[in-house]
Amino acid sequence: MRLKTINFEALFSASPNPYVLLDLSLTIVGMNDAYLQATMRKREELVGRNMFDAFPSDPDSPSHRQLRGSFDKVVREKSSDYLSVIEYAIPLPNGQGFEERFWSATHTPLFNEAGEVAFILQHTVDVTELHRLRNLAKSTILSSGPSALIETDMFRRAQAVQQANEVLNTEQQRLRGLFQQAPGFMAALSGPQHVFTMANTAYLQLIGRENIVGKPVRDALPEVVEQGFVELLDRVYQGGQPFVGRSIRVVLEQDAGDAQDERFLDFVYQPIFDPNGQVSGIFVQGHDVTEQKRTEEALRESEERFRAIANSIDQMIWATQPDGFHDYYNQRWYEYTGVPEGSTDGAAWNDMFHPDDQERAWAVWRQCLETGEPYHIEYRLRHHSGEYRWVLGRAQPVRDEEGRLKRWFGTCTDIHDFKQAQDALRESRERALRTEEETRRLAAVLAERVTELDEANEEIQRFAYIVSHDLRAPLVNIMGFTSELEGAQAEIEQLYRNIQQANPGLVSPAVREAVESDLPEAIGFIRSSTVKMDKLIGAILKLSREGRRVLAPEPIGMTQMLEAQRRSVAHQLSERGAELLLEPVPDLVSDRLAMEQIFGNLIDNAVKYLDPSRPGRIQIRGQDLGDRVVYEVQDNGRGIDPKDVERIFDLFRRSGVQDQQGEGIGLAHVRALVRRLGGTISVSSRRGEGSTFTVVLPSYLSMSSEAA
Amino acid sequence: MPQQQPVTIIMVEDDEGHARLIEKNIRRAGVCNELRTFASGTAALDHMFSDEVRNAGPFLVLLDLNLPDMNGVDILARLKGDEKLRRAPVVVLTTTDDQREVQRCYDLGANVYITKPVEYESFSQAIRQLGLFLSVIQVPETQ
Repeated sequence: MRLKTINFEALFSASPNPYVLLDLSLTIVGMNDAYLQATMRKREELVGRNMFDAFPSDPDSPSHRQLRGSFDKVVREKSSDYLSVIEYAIPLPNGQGFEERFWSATHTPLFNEAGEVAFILQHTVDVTELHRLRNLAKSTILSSGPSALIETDMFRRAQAVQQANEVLNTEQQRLRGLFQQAPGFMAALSGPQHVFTMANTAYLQLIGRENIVGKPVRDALPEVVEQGFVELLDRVYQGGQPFVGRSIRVVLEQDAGDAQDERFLDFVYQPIFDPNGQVSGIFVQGHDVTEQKRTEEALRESEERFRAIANSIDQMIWATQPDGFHDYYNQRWYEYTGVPEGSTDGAAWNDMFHPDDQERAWAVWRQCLETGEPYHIEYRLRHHSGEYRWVLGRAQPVRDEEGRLKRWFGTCTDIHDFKQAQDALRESRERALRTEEETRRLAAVLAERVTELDEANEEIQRFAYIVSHDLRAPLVNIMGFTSELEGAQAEIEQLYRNIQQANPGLVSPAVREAVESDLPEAIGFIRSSTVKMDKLIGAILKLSREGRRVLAPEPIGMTQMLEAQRRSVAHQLSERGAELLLEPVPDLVSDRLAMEQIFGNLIDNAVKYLDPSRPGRIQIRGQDLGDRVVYEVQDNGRGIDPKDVERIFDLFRRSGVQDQQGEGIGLAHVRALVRRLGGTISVSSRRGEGSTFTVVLPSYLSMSSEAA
Repeated sequence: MPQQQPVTIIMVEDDEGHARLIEKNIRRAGVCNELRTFASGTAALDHMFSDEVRNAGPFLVLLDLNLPDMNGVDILARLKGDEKLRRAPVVVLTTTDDQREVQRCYDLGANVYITKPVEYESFSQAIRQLGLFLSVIQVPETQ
């Protein structure tokens, strides 16, 4: 600091108050005359010297510490400091020792242009006289008047206050720091109106406003009045009992009453007592537990909701820790399994499974735990009835924000009935399929058989045709050359007659026999045999040809057809004195030629095998059975031996006395025809009483029925 | 019998007996034409389709249907499918009277169909009538 004008320096020097100027190293830079006078020193003795060199004192003495502390404080706090009373001895001039002095000093900082403290100005007043007066008052207490007493008391108090102030100052600084920086909110209220005297940062943040000191709670926080807090403060103020609140809900208005902020607080209203034991204020202290409260509530709510849901649904629910340790099952699980709560925690659930499913389920579960893939399995679970029922088990992992698996949540659903129905359905379907398959297979086999039979039949017919054809060829030769032989025989016979007439002696009996009987006889047998053979071959040919003929279904009036056939045998009937009775018969749609041959043969046979010992009587009748028709040809003829009943339908087989013309082909032919028409033929007969041939045919011949 | 054209008779018949009986009856009917007999279809076809025979003519074919190497019907079809040979009359001789077969032969162009009946008389009668048939044939001149 530079003293710019002479006037200031003059003023400084002339001032009756003693001043000394120190730099920050406490070196004495300058002083005025009053100071030199007060300290009894000369200017040159002091300038450039350190304060404590110029005025030495025991560094451990209270005086020394007090003075140095004050200098430090000025530099530190950049503000003035006062020392009300300080005892500081100063050396007497001329080395006559030290004189005890009492001072009252003010230290003022002087700043440079940069705003930094550059010098300390000490203004000191010598109060030794006052001090002496006090001591005097102490020693002569009786003689001292009231004023002296007051003087002395005041002085003492000033000293005490000075000391107390210092302690308090330090303590206050410390407390204020603590108070302001405390994480909890704090405020002090004073008087019955609860006027804010202090509030820390946390408190101001909580209430969202500033400048409340000096205002009553009612004005600073009008919204809490209705919420009962003022009432509460009144009670504490009046009763002197602290109030401790836990998670107390308070609604504060933020942003000038626009938004309402609900907070939850833990706090204490601590009454402050004055020295007389009267409540003078209330200390408010606490912390905001809103977040904690909300988290707790959210958690409880979520948990309650979960439990409510978990227990209100039909499904069994369980949960596990990340490692698969089961720590939760809902009520359904316990109701279903009937086991005590907690008994299936951990891995004990596996025992509830059917022994055959345990290993599989365990493997699937472990796999899911390892991979984090959803769990999905069907297994049998022991029901409280003891029955193992099919259950569908599913589980999903739940992860945190970092993707770490936190829990598994699973369900069990009883699918027993469903599964059984499904099984039954599948089984029945399989059975149906098997049946169908079997049917199809049988049908295929049947079709194959039919084809084979058709082929075999075809083969037989072809065979019959070729055989008959091939047999006929040599027969033609036999017949032809027999005729040639006859021609030759005629020539020989002519020659034989000529010789007999001309020279009978040349004719030996052997020659006569050969020419007259042997040759004609041999030729005769050859002829009749070949004729018979030709007929047999013709019959086979006819049968084979019949099998190859294409059937042509058409409506047939059976009555007319049978009438015509009766006419064709009328001659034979009258010869035998027999009758043929024709009852009404149903018509049908079939192959006309085949029908004519069937009934022609049956009627022929009936006529042929009548019993000559009684009047012949043949009856034909019929019946309509809907999709089938039945015809019966009944005779009272000689009947058929039971052992021959089947044989009569075979080719070339005949029954009974062979007194009638025939090749044994008629009934074989008839049966072949009936079968081709899709019908059946049967016979019932009693020897000596007659026979009844029953023919059953489809009412409508379709070409498909031929295949069967 | 007046013979205006020298018609050659070609008989295809594997059964020697039948061939002999047919020939006897033809001769008895007074037919003296040259008769060439073949016991197989192959031999008969080779002969008829040789240039000298195919372009010569006229001739008449007596054809048995039941041959060891081929079906007479095929021979008939070959003959009737040939530009020149189709003019030759064909008399089909067979042991069966299957109506379908008869019809098939006529459809293919057979002129006469004769079954070989076991009753020899009717057979020889038929053959003899062939003689008459041959006598009235008007065989066109070869071009």
